[in-house]
Amino acid sequence: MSNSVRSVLVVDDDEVTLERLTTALACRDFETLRAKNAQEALDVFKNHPCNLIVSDIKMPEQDGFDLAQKIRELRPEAAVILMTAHSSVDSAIEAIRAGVFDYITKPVDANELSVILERALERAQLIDENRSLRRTLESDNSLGNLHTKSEKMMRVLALVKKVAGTNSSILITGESGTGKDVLARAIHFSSPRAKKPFVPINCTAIPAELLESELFGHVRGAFTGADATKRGLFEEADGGTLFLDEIGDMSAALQAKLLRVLQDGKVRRVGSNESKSIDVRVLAATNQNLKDAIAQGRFREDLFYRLNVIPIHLLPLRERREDIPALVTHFLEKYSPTHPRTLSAAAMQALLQANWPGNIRELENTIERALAISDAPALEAEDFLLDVLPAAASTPAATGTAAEPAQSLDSFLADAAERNLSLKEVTNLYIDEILRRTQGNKLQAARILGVNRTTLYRREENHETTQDGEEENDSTYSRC
Amino acid sequence: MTRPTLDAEDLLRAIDHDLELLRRMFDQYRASLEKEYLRIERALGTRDYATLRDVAHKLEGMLGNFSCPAAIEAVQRFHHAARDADEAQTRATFQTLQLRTQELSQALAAQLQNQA
Repeated sequence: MSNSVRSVLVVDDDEVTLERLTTALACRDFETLRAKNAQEALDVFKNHPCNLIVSDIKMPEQDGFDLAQKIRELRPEAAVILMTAHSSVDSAIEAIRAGVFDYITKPVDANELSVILERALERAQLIDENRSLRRTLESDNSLGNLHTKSEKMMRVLALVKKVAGTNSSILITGESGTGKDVLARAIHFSSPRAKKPFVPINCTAIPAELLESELFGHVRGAFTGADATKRGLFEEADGGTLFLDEIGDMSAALQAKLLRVLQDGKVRRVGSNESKSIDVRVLAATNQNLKDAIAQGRFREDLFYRLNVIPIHLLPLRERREDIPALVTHFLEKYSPTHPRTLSAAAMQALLQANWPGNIRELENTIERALAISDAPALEAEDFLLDVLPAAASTPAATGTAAEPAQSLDSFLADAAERNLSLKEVTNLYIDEILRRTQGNKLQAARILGVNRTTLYRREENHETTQDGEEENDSTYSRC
Repeated sequence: MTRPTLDAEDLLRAIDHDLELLRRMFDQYRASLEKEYLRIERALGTRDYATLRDVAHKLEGMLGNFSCPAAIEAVQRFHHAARDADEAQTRATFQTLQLRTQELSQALAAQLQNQA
């Protein structure tokens, strides 16, 4: 800790006390400053980065309480410790009211004072860390941190910027992994509610029977196991934002209760007869088509309109490929902050061409995995273990045709059985197919097959020798 | 029961056995005492009990730095008398206070001499 941070300003109209305390504190590694009255103390305080003040209470003109109050106004993080020759309950209460850090009686024991000052420093450090974390959190989650080169996404972000400062409910839709939760955080941290809590909850992650008590809280004895009264997430988020992710999966009964809370602005804990007013902005997200869900009777129309005041749709990554390079750079920095890594042009090309059915989350996981697999400064295409199946087969739209590959597999197996092919022959056919699809890239093929790359090289050698009339070794295809 | 003039062991512990500090404190104590006694005498003449209480309070704080039970008891009695605005008692306790602080000065001087 720097000396300026360990600076203590000692204020007393008694020179002897000033001399003793400043000397004692200097011996305990504090930089000391002194003042003989409150005005002199304020002058020193304004011109010195000192956050610890030890002051007598009774001084001419301005007393220690006045000084503490002025110091709080100038620098709220500063800790004031008041000393008095006559302690009384009244002065102790006044000290608390003045927001002083501690209150000690004279004669002051230097060791005791030193312990109090160390405690004040720890608190100042915690406040500082807290502030720094909040700044990081706000900057990491700010809307300004969401960059896009996609024109469609730019329009989305422009809308988000307009509505972030309002209190309107927002329904964010988009496929899984498109960053709905990131956007919800950005909206919260760009709103006037930024200093209040952001409380996210995934409606599918909690069993339906527990979700109600999680959202609204419960009173003791409300149900078996409710041993204590618990605040719900609505109350936790009071003044801030509640983010209901995967809202499409909420049960019909809970949808009705949620609607009532949104309409009334009041929550009632499970088992309680009392309602409590709350001020919560609700953001919701889903990867489902809620209009279809309404048509199927799975989602309440009235709740949909209550949540969908401002609809925001996030595009899948395959429709905003121009954002991939910036996202790649962001994830490379995120997962390898101390050792900068890059990727080859071929690797970037491969990432740009991939379909990313899991969207940004999949891209992030892919990069994290590649960084873990490869030690090279520049990542290569094969480090990403990208899906080698034809592009169309891996898009969500194509998942509806999943029966087709199954039919191909069935016919292949039926054909193999018809021809009485041995296991080794079927294995060889499969390996050849994978090698063909990876264009002979043995590293990539080996990863798909779950064998060592050398296994494929040995197979090649054995294949050649087998063609020369020698027996192929069964252990050739041992797994990693 | 007479209280001791100086608890030397306690004083030395409180100042981390720093005799140089004690010397500086002693010099400041003598200078302050002279100044504050003049204020007391003036305030006694005008029966300015508010000033007498302020000075008593300040002296209590200062004497607290020296581990000197007799002088502290004397200044507390003086403070009570000034708070009660009892002129006779204030004058009497002031005399005792002067005596005790004089004894303290001698004890501190001796302490500094012995330790040197």
